[in-house]
Amino acid sequence: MKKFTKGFFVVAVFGGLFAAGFCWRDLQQGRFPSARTVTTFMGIDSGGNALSIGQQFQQTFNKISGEYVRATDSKKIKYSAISGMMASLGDPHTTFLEPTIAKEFDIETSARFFGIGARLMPDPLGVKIANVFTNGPADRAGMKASDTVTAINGQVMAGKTPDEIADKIRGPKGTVVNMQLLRPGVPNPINIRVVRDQIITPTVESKILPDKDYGYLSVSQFSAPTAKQFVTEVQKLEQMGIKGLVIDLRGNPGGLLNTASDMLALFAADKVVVSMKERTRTTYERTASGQVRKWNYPIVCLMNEDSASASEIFAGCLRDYGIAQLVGDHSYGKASVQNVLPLRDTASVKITIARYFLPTTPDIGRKVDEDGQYISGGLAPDFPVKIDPNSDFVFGDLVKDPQLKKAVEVLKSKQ
Amino acid sequence: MSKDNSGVKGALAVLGGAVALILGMVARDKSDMGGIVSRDPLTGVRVASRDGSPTEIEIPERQYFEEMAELLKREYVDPVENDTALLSGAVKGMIGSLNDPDSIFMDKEEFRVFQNMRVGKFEGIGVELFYTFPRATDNKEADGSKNDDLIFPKINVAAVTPGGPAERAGIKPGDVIDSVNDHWIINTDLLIRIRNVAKLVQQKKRPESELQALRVELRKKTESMMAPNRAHDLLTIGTKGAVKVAWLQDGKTISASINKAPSEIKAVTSEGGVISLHMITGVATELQRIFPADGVAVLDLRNNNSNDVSVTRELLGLLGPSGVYGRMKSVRSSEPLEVKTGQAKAKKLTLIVDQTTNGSAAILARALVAKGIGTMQGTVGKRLFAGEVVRLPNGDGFTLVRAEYSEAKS
Repeated sequence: MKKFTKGFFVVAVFGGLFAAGFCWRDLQQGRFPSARTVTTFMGIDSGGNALSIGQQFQQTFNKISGEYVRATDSKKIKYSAISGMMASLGDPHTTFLEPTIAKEFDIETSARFFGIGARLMPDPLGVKIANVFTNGPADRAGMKASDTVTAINGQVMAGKTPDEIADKIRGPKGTVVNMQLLRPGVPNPINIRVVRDQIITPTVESKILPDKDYGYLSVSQFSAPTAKQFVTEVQKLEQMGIKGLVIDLRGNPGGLLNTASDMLALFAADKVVVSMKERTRTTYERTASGQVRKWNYPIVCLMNEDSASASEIFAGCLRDYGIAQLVGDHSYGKASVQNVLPLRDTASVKITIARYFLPTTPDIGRKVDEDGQYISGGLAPDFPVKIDPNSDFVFGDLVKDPQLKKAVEVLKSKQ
Repeated sequence: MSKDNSGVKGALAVLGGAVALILGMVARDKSDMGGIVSRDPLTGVRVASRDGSPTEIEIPERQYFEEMAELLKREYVDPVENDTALLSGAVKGMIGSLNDPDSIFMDKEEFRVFQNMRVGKFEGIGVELFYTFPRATDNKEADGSKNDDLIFPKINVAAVTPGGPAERAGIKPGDVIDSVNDHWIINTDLLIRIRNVAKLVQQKKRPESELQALRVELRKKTESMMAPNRAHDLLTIGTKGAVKVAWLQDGKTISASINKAPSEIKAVTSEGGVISLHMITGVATELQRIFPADGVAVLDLRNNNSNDVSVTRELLGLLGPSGVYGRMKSVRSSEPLEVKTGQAKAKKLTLIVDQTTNGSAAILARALVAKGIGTMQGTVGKRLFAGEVVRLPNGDGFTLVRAEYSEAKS
């Protein structure tokens, strides 16, 4: 009898521990596993009188793929269903990548493709060249900032997104891409032939502005070597005795949070960079630590709607710390972190898993209307200056860049 | 000795407990991940083909849906609790993938307005609209390959309510809506025109200036845009406020600010010996009441867009003898359009139709002519479809085209 109770006790304890292990993930989040998880594990199909949501989905799927007047592609309908389900959350960064698209994503990130060395901006006629990398293939072929690419290899690019166009520009090393360009002030389109080559993206470039008083430093993205390059370029400018610094973050899509954080540590010690809010964890703060430099001159950051993610953190923190002022257009408003999960059928999903907040600026998360048009979000500039897309502007050219002009005015006013 | 023994026992118990806990966690991982999420993208559950490269495997749609819903609930930054909203989103995606102007997903509000329209009650400016997509052959690249752009349809006017706000402003069936509240309604037509002209310019058949003019037009229009479904909502939902509309009529652009107000289309109106029919529920009963005793009538079937073929059947039963009037066909089936109890004495009908006669009205006209009961004045529109209306659990809904009419006997 005693043995039986003891045996029962042992089984109960082990069973309880097993259950605790099974529920561990949910218990961490302060809830119990859903009934479906348990029934799935036990091999039971949750039935009941009312149709489950899965059964309702199956019914509708069968109706659309089986009763539509024309032939249907059930795989296409299936993937469209998953895309639609994810879109219903209203978050543009939570998306489904079909197998074919997922493969392209792989290729893109593995950098086996080569480009022409130019930064692109959206334009209804195709894509606008924001700048060309010095001595890159585009530069060597004579492309210039503010050119508009209207056709690639004879194919008209009007109405396509910069991402779609970038896909067409990239290709194997040594191959040729033919482009048609419109250049402000030139009546006829220009045809140009560029040989694709490996691009070493300079993430930081600096120059002294014509009046010799102010330094201009363009940060195109936050990659691993950026922080080091940033310090090198700053030192170069300081040796020339600058009285102020313009940090250009326009078109900077972001990159590594660590890099932005390291760069912020040059300005202020042990201050909060962002506070992260995840679904499953309580909010936690991230601080920047490192050797603080002396900045004996005013600083202005340039940004526009193509400045996103890490560049918003960098510019936003500098302003929140009271170090820099912002000039240009509002930034993109990317204030969330995504996780990419590969799926068994080679598709993948990108899901927003966390949001972050700047030290004092309220939520900068981008809001769009039903048409995907911008409503609010991003960092609001202290000195708003818009650029007319039809004008003959060149980034970084004091005469042809109204935003840079304004930035220098702001620096002058601080002398 | 016994002390040592209990120590070993205790250690074993703790170890066993830990194993049970870990087994539980592993079981959970298996339970969750056994489905869709690949545990290792390179070597995990991916099936390798004979040459060793990974191939796509099929996951059944219901499993896919259920597991993705669970995944979102587990991973997404905000709580995801509304299952029916996920289902609706999935249906919206599926219907959208058909790219069919007559198979439309509607949110709750749009569906409410749609249901009211089916009994003749209108909001907004009093218009019934339909979408037209560019023909597949038009949307091609210069080298003949398929263009992979998103396709945006044009918004056409199918019908206006008599005396309603749109009609008073001069909007007519067949017009195309160009902009709403000064936002150009994105459509693929302008891009197709640019591609076509670019091709001709390359062949030196057209001057560069023509292409340049189109580029200027596109750049100007894209400064302020609106998606077609949003424009559709602004024109058809609500009875308060004004909306600024620009529309194309006979090659001209007209614009006006139009006040929204409730309006209606009656099922049957009779004027000067012509009976106008609007294909809504109850039209057959109404028609029966006023139908001339001699059986000779002129029926106006213009400005009809509904694809509810049950209305067609009722009207055929009122106007013609029993029998088969043609077939409703899809890729999978072919069913007779049949009237079980019809009229012994055949009627003599003149049918006024044009390109705004579509759906159930167009089928009615073609069926009556095929049976020799009526003669058509004009040609009906191209859309001879029968659709089904489905309501989803959260109040959203959709229409799905199921069959197309054909006079064929079999």
